[in-house]
Amino acid sequence: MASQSKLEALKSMAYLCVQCGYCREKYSDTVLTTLPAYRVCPVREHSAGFEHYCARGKIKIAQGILEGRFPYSEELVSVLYTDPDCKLCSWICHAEPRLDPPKIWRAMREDIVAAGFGPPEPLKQIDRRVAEKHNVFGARPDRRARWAAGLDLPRTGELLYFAGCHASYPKPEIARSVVALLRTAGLDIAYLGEDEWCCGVVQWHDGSVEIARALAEHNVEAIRRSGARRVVTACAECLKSLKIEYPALVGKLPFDVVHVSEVLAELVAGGKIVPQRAPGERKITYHDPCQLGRYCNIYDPPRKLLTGIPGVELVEMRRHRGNAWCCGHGADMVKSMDPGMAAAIAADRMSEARETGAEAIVTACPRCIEALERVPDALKVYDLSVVMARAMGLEI
Amino acid sequence: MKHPLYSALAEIVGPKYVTDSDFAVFAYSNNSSQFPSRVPGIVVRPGSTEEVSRIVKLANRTKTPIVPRGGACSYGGWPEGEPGRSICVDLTRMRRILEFNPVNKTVTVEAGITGTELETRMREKGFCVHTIFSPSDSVTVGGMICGESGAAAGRDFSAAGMDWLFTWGLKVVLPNGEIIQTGSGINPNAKNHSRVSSGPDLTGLFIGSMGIFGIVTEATLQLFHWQGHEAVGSIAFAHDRLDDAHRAMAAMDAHEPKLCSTLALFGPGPAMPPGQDWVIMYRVTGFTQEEVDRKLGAIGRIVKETSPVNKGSTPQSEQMTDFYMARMHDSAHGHGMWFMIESLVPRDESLRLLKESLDWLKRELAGWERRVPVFNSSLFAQLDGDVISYHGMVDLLDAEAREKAIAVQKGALDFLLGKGGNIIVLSKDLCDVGARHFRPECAAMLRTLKAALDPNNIMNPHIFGLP
Repeated sequence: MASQSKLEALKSMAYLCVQCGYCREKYSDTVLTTLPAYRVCPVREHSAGFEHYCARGKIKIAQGILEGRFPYSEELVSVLYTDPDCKLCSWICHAEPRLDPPKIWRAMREDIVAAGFGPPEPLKQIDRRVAEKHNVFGARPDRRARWAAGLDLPRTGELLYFAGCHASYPKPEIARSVVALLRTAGLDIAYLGEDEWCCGVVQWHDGSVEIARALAEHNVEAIRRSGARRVVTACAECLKSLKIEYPALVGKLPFDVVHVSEVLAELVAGGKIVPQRAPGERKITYHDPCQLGRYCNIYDPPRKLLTGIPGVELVEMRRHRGNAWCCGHGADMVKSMDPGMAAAIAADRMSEARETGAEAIVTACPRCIEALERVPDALKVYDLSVVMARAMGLEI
Repeated sequence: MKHPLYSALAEIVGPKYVTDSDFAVFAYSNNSSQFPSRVPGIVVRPGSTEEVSRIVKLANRTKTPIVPRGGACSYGGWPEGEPGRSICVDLTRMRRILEFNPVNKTVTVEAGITGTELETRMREKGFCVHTIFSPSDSVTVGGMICGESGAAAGRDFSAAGMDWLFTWGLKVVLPNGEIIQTGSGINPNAKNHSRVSSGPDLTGLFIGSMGIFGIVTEATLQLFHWQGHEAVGSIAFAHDRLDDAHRAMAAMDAHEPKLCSTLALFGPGPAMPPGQDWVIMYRVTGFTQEEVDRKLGAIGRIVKETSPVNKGSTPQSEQMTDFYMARMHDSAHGHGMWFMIESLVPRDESLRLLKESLDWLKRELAGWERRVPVFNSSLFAQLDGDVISYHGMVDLLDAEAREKAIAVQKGALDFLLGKGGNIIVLSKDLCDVGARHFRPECAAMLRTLKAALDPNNIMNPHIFGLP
């Protein structure tokens, strides 16, 4: 029997669920829930649909574990890891902070890892890559800062850009756009170079908290050494790790953590940067990344930026803001466990985007971009910072 | 070890839709209630009526009990079937809208669609069904018909009554696996457009049946045009003016044509401090704002004539109204397991029964007010009758309180049924309470019907005091 220490700590939460089933389907537009959510759980919708694929079933299973009714079997471990932790169930339940369903199965995953039953091999591979190379791709650590070639960025300063793995390796245009935008506004921006490690988002979710802890301690110390008072990132997952997970682990951070959309919105409002023109496509829809929206409650700044671009029409998908459907790639969980399911979830989102008549999707998370771009016949998918840089006519 | 029917069920629905894993069946061991878990042996998610029929035939051949499952949101205990052996038939995969007919004003759906999904889809077309307000969003149409006694209600249940009135016909898999159609569709040459058939009302046999006579797989429901305008309001009465409040509410509900789509009287429950107001809360709907305004004017006149000593609308009454109209079920989230005590009573006895049952609850819960809090006492008007309703909460980790809550829930219903009420929301343990108050002849008839239709007693056994 696996250790139940983490789940035990959440025992009272695990028995708060009223089993109402809103985490499966919630259609009401009554007063408290201001938006209809329709079918709630992407995993339930793209699996066999048994109760154990949605929050109330998993919470019931947590009760079963706590009551010693069954152990963590290989099949149960697989179920608990096939989840994007998109948190739509929490948003629908509106019982936070007393009841936050994903916290329960994240605790179960920690117990599974502590007992040596997990994480499953696909995630273990990512863990190994991160532990050894400090990035999710297993790429050479000494190439982490290649995106900054020619930018002459300092290693110290009050405002520090945390690029994250995706912007450092496959999506350098995001990092270069952020730097260009902030410099245009007259801000001095520093970075960590090769000393920046993965934020640990996958490990926070897959239960490998010892790896996540090492990453967090390293990054916090590196940022502290840089003298930064404010850390800005363009990655929703890095933001969530730094802003929510790190303080829970190491206590109050000696710096603030903000998303680039918040900084850019401040700069636009202050007239420090002035978007000039549409980036190409004019009718745009915005996809709320789960980790930026439901985890960090950032919904308005990206929208303010997009609507502030001359010639751009922002059209909302039917499910947006707290109600947004996941891209399917959250923390690489579903993508690793069931790539077909992840692709189907992303295809749902692309269909919703198409329904709006938009010519392009803008989002603020590289992993969402990766997921949405892989949908066959996808609309163009842009990162918010890249769009803003283009709107400013900046050379990247 | 695999359930003995695993392979046979997998052959019917495909292996993807069968599970007998220990954790998976445990997730099917309860509904939205504080009652103990009752674990099935295997769970199957059929995709069609024909698959349900084959499952039932298999269960008959092997004498394996079946427990049908919709949204599993009832709050009175999950059916036990035969723990560890039963087949739980999860109908929620069957959620298609089969026919929308705006001319006949009918919609035919698979039983696993939630009432609120159906309502949302119909509203997009300018129509509505009577399912949006209560019970909770994830209750299925099949669950409302069989498990809620047709007592699910639209936002106009005070004016129009409960769902069973608008259920035109059903497709049902009988306990022997045969498939029948009730309502006008009893004639294979006829559409499902009316409850009226060329014979007895077979539809009624399955409403509130808890599935003991068969599994409802499709339903044809009446559609109504959506009334797009509405207003809500409240009137407060001092705590010692319950009689006045009841008189006003009864007068509001007695008006023809009906004024209020939703009408309820709310007061404090045993857990609340004394001295709190009674509050009438109402919702008025109409096709135009003028219609709504006319109804609001009539309500004002009626209250002034019948019960002039009131406080009008107060901040507290408005807050309570917002709370209620947003569905109180939702407010339980993150606090504890919600439970209800609800009984339909005649209007001319509702005031007396409310007072007597409130006194009963206060006695029974003396000393338990914090651990088994019952927050409110209320009357919901519905078609010139009233539903007495109490709402409570319990911490599932407090075993003593949990037992007390179960005892009080069953005891209060027993009390109300002994005084002339009836249960409106069915579930295993509450049905057993209801069955204690069946006339002996009716109980015998039920046994006869059950034995005739289900000689192997496979279909949701042990409900209504039946074997």
